[in-house]
Amino acid sequence: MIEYDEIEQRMVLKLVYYGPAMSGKTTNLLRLHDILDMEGRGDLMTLDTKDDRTIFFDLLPFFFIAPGGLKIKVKVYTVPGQVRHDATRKAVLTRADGIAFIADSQISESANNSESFENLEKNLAFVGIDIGRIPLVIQFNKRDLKDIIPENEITRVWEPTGIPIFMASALQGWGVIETFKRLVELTYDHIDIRHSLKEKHMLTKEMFVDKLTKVSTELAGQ
Amino acid sequence: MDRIDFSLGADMGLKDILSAPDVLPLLKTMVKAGADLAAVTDRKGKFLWAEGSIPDTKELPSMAMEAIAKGGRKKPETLSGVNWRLSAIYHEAEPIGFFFISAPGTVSKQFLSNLMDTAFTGLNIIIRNIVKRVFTTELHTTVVKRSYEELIEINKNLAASEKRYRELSETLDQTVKERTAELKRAYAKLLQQEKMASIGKLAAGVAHEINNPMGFIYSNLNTLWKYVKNLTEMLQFYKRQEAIGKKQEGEELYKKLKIDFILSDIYDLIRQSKDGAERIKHIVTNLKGFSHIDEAADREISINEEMDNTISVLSNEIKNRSAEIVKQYDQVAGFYGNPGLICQAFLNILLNALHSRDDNIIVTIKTEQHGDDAVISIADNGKGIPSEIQSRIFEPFFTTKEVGKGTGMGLTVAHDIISRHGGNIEVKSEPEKGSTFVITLPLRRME
Repeated sequence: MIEYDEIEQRMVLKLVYYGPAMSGKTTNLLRLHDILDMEGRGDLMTLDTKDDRTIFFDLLPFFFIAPGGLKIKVKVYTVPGQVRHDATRKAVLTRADGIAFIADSQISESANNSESFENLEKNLAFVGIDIGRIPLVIQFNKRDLKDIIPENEITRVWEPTGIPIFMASALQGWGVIETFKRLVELTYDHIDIRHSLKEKHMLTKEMFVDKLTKVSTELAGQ
Repeated sequence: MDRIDFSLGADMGLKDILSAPDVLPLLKTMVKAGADLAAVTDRKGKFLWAEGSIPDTKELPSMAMEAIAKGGRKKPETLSGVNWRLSAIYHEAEPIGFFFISAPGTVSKQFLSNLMDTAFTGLNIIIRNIVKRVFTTELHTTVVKRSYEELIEINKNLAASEKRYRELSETLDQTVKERTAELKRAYAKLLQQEKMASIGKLAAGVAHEINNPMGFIYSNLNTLWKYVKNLTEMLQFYKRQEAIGKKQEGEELYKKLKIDFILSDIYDLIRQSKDGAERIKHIVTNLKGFSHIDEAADREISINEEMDNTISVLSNEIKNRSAEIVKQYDQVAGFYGNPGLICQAFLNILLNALHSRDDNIIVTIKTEQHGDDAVISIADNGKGIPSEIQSRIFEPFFTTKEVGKGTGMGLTVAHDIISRHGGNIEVKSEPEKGSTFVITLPLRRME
């Protein structure tokens, strides 16, 4: 999964925002781009879109150097949610290190959510990733809308799975950082086991999380 | 399918992204606009592409190198000296090189800054577009390749399944035809059995109804015969007595009453009635056999012995018709069945063979064992059975003989008996060459 070049002292991580069409994956990345400090954060790159729908992917890159000298690049991708772009989803999902599943809270979208989650399970298996082991968080987006699945019902269904669940409105900007932060934390834990980030590269979890989720001072001051 | 090893936007340096034709026109424009040096360097300050007065070191001037070493990484990062400007080039948030321009002292600082901003914006647009193109192409290629492989796989499976269905549909037609024919045969057989069974019941009823009056008619005829004999004797006695006295009158009355004719005809009359009654009795017996009114117990019998018994019963008929019987017996295991019925079946078929032609009759009887079956064939050299009536010969009351000569029950009874023993009769016949009845009886029938 993870790309690690010991001689070059480089590590590239891949985080993927998955979910049904129009659930707000790109909006999540747009918000992260707006909220997070620009130091170490690249520009959001949006590949070809059609009618405001992602047909390839979006990419929000991060880059920083660990105290031990390890250069770390984190690439956050979105996948196209439409059913027809399954091949693209598989390509983007290949070698992923962590996944945020963005669900649409509207009751009318329930079927699409579960269909997309099944698609995620299927495609992870296809690219050889164990869904039980890869860092995974779920965000129920669009909490600002009416006719949404009640929070207690979501909790009742998802709590037993142990997967972290977040409520969000990417449009209004809340819940986005929390979702991303937990994904980053889980990803650190997962990588630390194999690559000893703390011991070999003097990169603590706090530092790692802080580098990726530091809120822009301009916004922080507001 | 192989897993693709695909990492979108694998790490790229400036040289991977840009090429001389992308950069040099921009750098040349800078020089034309008033810069004396315009350069793109790697992350260490070494020139990758440059235009204008290029120093021999092919790296940034010392003051710019010092600025890099201090390493401010704020973004967008523009370091500036009196007559130079330096901006870090980023790819995916990582600094991968620098853009540098310097100008002679005659050029104003403001102009230099504006020149830098314009050129740097242009360079970043070029880089972003190239990266996008690379990503898009990479992804597109991957997706197309995978989709193509999937399509090939799907196509392969489709072709295989199409082939399977085509074969199925081809054989389906044949299978349906075979099954339909089988069903037709089974249905016809069932119909025939049903017909036989109902006729059997009818026959049993008729036989019972006829048998009672038949009994007393026959018995009465016998008594009548005796009565007439006595009467005749008495009459003749009277005639002799009369001759002594009123001979004339007695003679006249005797003639008038046609006594001589009556006396001679009366026996024929009774004999004919007796024959008729006999024949009816025979039909009734056959009907009884067919409907199994009189059942005897089953036991183990020898097919060859029963055949011999049957032949001896028929010895008179064989002698009368001067027929020749050829026996070709083989060893046949004991058969469990009703000896009377089996003999009856053999008898009816043998009779049929003996009547197959008028003279020079040869009947060949073969017995043999085929596995668990006894196979008995009775062949004649008779006239044969026309093919159009072959299917009807086992039908009750079907006969080719003149009315009154055959009952049409013989083969029906034989067929019924053999069926009841789990066997079957087949007939092969060729016109003018003869017919062969082949009886197959299963030997393992122990009840």
